[in-house]
Amino acid sequence: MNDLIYNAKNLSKSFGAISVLRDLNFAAARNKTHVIIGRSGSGKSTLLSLLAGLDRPTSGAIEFDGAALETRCNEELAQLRRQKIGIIFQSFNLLPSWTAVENVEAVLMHSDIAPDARRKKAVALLSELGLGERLNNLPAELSVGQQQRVAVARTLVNDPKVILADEPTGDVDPELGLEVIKRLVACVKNNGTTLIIATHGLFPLEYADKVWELKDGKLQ
Amino acid sequence: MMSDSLTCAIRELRRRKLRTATTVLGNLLAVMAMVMLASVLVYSRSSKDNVLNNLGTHFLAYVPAPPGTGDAADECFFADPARTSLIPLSTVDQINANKSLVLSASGFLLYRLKDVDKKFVHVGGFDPANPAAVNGSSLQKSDIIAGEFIAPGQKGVCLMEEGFALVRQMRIGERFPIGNKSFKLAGIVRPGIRPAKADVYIDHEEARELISGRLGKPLGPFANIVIVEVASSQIQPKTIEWVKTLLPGCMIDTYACYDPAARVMNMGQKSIAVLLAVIFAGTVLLMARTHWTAINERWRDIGILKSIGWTNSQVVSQIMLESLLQSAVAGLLGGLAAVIVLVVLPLKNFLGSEIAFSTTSSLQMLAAGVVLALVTGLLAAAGPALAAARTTPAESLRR
Repeated sequence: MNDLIYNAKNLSKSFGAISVLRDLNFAAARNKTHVIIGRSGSGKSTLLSLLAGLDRPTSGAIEFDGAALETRCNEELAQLRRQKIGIIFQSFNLLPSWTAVENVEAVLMHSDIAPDARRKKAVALLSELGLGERLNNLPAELSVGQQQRVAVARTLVNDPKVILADEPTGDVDPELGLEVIKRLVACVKNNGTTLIIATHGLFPLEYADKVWELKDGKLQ
Repeated sequence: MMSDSLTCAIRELRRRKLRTATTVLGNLLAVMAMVMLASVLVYSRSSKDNVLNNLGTHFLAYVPAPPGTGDAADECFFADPARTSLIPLSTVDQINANKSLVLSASGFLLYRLKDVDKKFVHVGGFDPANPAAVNGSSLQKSDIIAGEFIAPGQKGVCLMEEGFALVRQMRIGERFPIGNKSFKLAGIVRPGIRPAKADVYIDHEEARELISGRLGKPLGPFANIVIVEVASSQIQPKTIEWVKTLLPGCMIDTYACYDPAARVMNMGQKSIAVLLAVIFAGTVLLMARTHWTAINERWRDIGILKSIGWTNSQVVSQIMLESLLQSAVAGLLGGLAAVIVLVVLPLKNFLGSEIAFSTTSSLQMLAAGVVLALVTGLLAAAGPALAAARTTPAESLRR
């Protein structure tokens, strides 16, 4: 098996006349924590979107788990995200009209897992994250920290091979941010997950296996 | 898998009460307006058809006497202004028997005789028991302006035309001499403009006796005019042609108001069809806009679902289910509301129609409203749902 979970070559992404990523090369080893640091607007979120298959590159190639990503159809990309890729968004992106447990369960819907089993799994994960009392609250009824933990639970519930985290500590206090990082890093150690974190702020580098800086559309 | 979509759709609709209520209300009003307008238009058309079918359904047929028959100063059978020949009552019966064309037919005797002062009196003999005669072109009960109409079988009485009664200074209850008999004046009539108009109307049997006396021989089973009530005004031309084959050389008197009226009505029906099409298109557009607005608010949600692994078809099916559920409720409630309003409204009086409002057509409209709502909901949701499916999750999240 290839040691690299991701291998992106000459990756470019433009929005109209604005070029965000330019001939970027990125390789991520399995079972490691990769940190991409960059200023706001440097293209970190765009890069994660391309790695998650949420968007398509203007040019270049992305190899994921030994297979080309950019040539897959939308349905295949959706399947890939459901089975192998977990995403934590900067603004959490929880469904506002769904409760905490329903948000976590959403990842397991339309699958072979029985409704009872997926509910059990979501409840167990949220309880583990200290949200056992908040299962039936809507996101608007939760604090920012609690929302973040729901987002983390949603990411972990399908045991992904890769976790892509966009500013996971951006909107929470440092103590809570560190707690989230520890939990994600624990997944790397315990489950063999690969963690790719994009951040513009300070990151406790002792948790990182590899640190990249995104500048002028390229990784350095 | 579909049950997941249904669960999520119901959950979404229940949680977003305001948006759901707004969408349902918008669709409900559209369906209600459509059902009401369509029902009123269809009812209006039925009323017009009803009027049309009873318009100008009567005509008179008589056979003019051959040229040179009689003298202008003679007593004679006539149908103003012509002298007429006699028509066997068996022919009248033959006409009456054809129920596919004729509602009823009756013989009418119209005879011009001179009274004691040598002045002409036009005597009409009709059968008060025959609807064609009573409701037809000779005389109607509604023509009475004083006194009473002749009852079937009533003898020794007469009806008098208003102008004639005025000239002869006759009052109800007075006796009027005709030939060697006198008749009690039962009623005064205002028959208006009619093709076969008499001064005095009496029972047809008494008229037969009277005329026999004037002719100096029994009249026999004849009439000089046939009054025909056609089954429907729409077959009047066909009926006239048929009667002409039975009475060669006959003349036909009719108000002939069917043809122009039918042309106007037909134009009205085309207008109704155009109006219904406009209403339908307007309803579809209004509902489509309501659905479009509701779905456009959900771009971010769609992006989230796709980012966590929902496929395009799963997202589209949920959106479609939401639209269908809302449309079904709106269609049913809107249609029901329309039917209730239509039943409560005094539509018959409002439209000046003579036929009762039929709720059957409204129930059909209700069913049509539900189907319309479902189809429109499906079509209206399909556009934005497919558009959402075509965009990448990142684009949906950026919106």
